[in-house]
Amino acid sequence: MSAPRRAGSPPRIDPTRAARLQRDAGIERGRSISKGATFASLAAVAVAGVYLSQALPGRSTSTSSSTSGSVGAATPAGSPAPVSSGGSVGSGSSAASAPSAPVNTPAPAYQAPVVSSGSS
Amino acid sequence: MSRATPVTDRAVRLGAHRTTRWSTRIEVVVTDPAVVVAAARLLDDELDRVEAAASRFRDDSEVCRLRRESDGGPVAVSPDLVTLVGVALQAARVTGGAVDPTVGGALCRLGYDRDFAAVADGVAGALPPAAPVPGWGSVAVDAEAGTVTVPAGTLLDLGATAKAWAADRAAAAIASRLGCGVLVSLGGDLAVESAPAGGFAVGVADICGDPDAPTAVSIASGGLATSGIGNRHWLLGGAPVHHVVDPSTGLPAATPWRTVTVAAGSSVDANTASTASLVLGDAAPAWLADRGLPARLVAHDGAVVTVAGWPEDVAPAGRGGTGR
Repeated sequence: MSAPRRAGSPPRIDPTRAARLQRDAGIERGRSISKGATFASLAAVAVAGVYLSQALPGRSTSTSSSTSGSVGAATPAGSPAPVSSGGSVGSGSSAASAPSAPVNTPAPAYQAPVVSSGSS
Repeated sequence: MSRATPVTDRAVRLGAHRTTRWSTRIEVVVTDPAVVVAAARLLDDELDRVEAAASRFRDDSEVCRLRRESDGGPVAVSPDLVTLVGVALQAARVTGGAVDPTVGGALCRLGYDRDFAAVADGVAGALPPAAPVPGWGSVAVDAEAGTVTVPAGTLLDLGATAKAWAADRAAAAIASRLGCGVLVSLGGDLAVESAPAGGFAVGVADICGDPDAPTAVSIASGGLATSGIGNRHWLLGGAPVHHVVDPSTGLPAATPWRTVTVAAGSSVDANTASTASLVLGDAAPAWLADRGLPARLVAHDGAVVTVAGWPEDVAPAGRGGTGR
């Protein structure tokens, strides 16, 4: 039961309604924060995507058609090779100056081989 | 010939598919036997693409068309051939020209102008005089324009890199699409992705597929390749020749090595280094060591030289464990 309202005193709000208003305001603040975070995330992903699309091996960041680049082992499946040449036409710097060394040195195998490597 | 068999003699169950193509042994081993058929299909797709682009023995392949149509200017080709020629030029670059894609004409003059099965029994003719090949410096690729430029009439031989490139590509595709560990072996050019703990055990032999490999190593990632002159050799008018051409002479390389096996970051790099080692000859061990490429070189008398941390030979356990 609510208390009687006195003339001249500030209007009194029903506590239930006040709580509802407070709750709604909180929800609205949460929505705003979520929207901001979502927008920021999407913007970051878009910027990273543009950057990575130019930085991936096999993608040229240059408009030059004579750039020699990363081809061979590092070229991911399906990606176009950059321009390269034997040297007399459009030669450029090479992505690698030597075959890449393995991440792990071969270890002696004590299991039965699943395949064998030999000349073919 | 083709078969798919689960291999159960390891802690991790493996599925394997084996077949023969290009007169070579084709194998795919996966860590999930349930996907072995799908893996074999993915591998077949890659091999089809490489063959259509790079086969010297198919008139309708792109390298044959390139030879016919080239007048010394750029020729429009598929993205696959652009990539394959780029890979071959990179191999030439990093080996100082020891691995050169313009040896195709030299191989034809040696009689190797058709599938090896038709050459193995010998061919008529005589050893041609020594003459350098056109040279990788005369080849250019323009990826944006989708063209390759070669001197008129030049036949490219991408055999030193295309097979290994296909192995790398197939292994990556199988691992990513089927979510399993995989080893792809194309005539001894191996690519490994997502290997099980301890890696895949691989026998190392003179001849690919030899069930009595004298040693074995475990490969956890990257590539392994063996190049040698013990398998693809034939008689040309009575003279013994083989398929590893020295670009400086256009003739079979006079190499002190019977086989060279190299581990590298990829199958392409492993094959590039193993092929170059045959051509480089006595300089090969130092060349490999300088680049940190673990390798096992076998001289004609059977003497073994190892470099860059390649392990001592150990007799493989349970030889022939894959049902060869």
